[in-house]
Amino acid sequence: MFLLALLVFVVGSWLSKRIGKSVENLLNKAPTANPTLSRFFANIVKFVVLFAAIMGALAVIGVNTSGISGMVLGFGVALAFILKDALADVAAGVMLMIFRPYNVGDEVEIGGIKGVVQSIEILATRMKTRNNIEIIVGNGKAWGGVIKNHNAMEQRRLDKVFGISYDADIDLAIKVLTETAAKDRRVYQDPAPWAKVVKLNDSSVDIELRVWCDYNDHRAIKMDISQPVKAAFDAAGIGIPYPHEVVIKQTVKKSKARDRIERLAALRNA
Amino acid sequence: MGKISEYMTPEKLTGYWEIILPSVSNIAIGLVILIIGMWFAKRIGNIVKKNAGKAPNIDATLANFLGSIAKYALTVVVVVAAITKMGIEASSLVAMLGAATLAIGLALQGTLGNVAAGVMLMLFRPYKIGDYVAVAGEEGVVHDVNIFTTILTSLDNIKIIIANGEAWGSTIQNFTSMGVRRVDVDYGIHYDDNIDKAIKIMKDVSAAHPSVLSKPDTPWAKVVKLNDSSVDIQNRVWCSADDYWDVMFDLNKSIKEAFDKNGITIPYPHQVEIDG
Repeated sequence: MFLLALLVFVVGSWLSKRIGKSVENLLNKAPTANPTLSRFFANIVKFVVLFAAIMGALAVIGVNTSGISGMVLGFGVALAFILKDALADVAAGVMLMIFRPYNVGDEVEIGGIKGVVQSIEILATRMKTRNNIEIIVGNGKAWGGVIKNHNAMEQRRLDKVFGISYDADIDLAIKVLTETAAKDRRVYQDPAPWAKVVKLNDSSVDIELRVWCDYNDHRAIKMDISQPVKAAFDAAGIGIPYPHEVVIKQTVKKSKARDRIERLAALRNA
Repeated sequence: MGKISEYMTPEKLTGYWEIILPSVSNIAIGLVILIIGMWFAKRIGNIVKKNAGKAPNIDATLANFLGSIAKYALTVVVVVAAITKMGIEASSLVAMLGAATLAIGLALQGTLGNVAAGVMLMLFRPYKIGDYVAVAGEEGVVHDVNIFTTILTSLDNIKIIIANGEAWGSTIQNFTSMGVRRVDVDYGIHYDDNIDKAIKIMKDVSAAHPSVLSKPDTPWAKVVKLNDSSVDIQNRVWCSADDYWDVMFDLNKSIKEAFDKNGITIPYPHQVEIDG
């Protein structure tokens, strides 16, 4: 009997290793494979098979396994509750691996924080901001919330507002803006640069310029566009106004402030 | 160890047979249960898929999903039944399965919530692909709605992936579904200007725009606020939801130009400085 039990155990443990290996290999073949994740799941499968082998061996010896299985159930339930959040992160990690809302190297915004994805791990996604701060976000937060992927669509629109003087010719300003933008080779000719009056602001007429470009050029154009626009506005005689304020001066005969100063002076002299 | 023939006497062989036969037949029956059960589960899954696909609100993705849930649930039942029949004590297996299900259930709680919300979104269709919406605080055009997520593209083409739980659980604003929208913009004129004249100019300019509709209402303009430095007149015009932004921006320009032509001023902020 003991010999048979030993045999069941040995065969079972060998089998568990084999199955674990093949599960790992199988998972690694998937197109969205991740080695860490595959190992993780292979290990789970391995231990489950090993556990079944041990139970089998015990059953062969004649131990009543129903008590043990009850214990295992209880233990499993407790563990599941303890690890609830971590398990949710793992599940979300699997979803992220399968559906790939973002890949390594993408510029994304998760929970309002923007960064470039460095790695997607079992529990968390690591990002880096442009000024080199590392950000670690639990996968559950990413998959369960809002993910903004800035480069997934590949083509992007760049919006920039320019304020011109109330006295300037709006049509001329729009023409200057779109022509200046079109001069940049990275800006698409189709759809062509667009500009319209988005707001009649306090001191300026606000014109928004919208151009389409490759995602890769988006940030560079954003930084490069202002200088040529200023030069073109200057050349066309279109003013970019300072904040304006109309000051109305009023002289009053009686003033509390003046009275007070006089009273104080009188007191001092007395 | 005795001779083999000692173990092979007819009586002993019958004895062995009596021990082996039940277990062999049980294993055979178990296998039959397994095979028939698996086939059955597959058939049922397909039937669920096909019938679900016929319902008007359920699309191919959802039908597939419901079909595979039915299939796998049946498969688990079949496997446990077959194993029990084969004579293996299944209680520990069932216990393990129970614990595993609980763990997986807890892990997938959020994801399953998203699936449920996804089913709701597909049944009730608060938005469809191509609508301009605000969901979970994000605005964009609906690019795709699947089981787990709603995908929007913002006007500047950022891809926004929102978990369906988040989408269904928050306020959804659909800017497209009503067909027509009202454009409300305040224009401030100088306190010394003629208000009636300004209102007439605004209404005339608005009515002249080709995209402005005369239904459900013709252009409307009234004084909404006596503001710090200006008399604020609100302009309200109706247009097709697709033209909303164009109408707003075009009217900004043409109303400003019409004001300039007719001597209505848009004032800068005023401040009175009292010498005293």
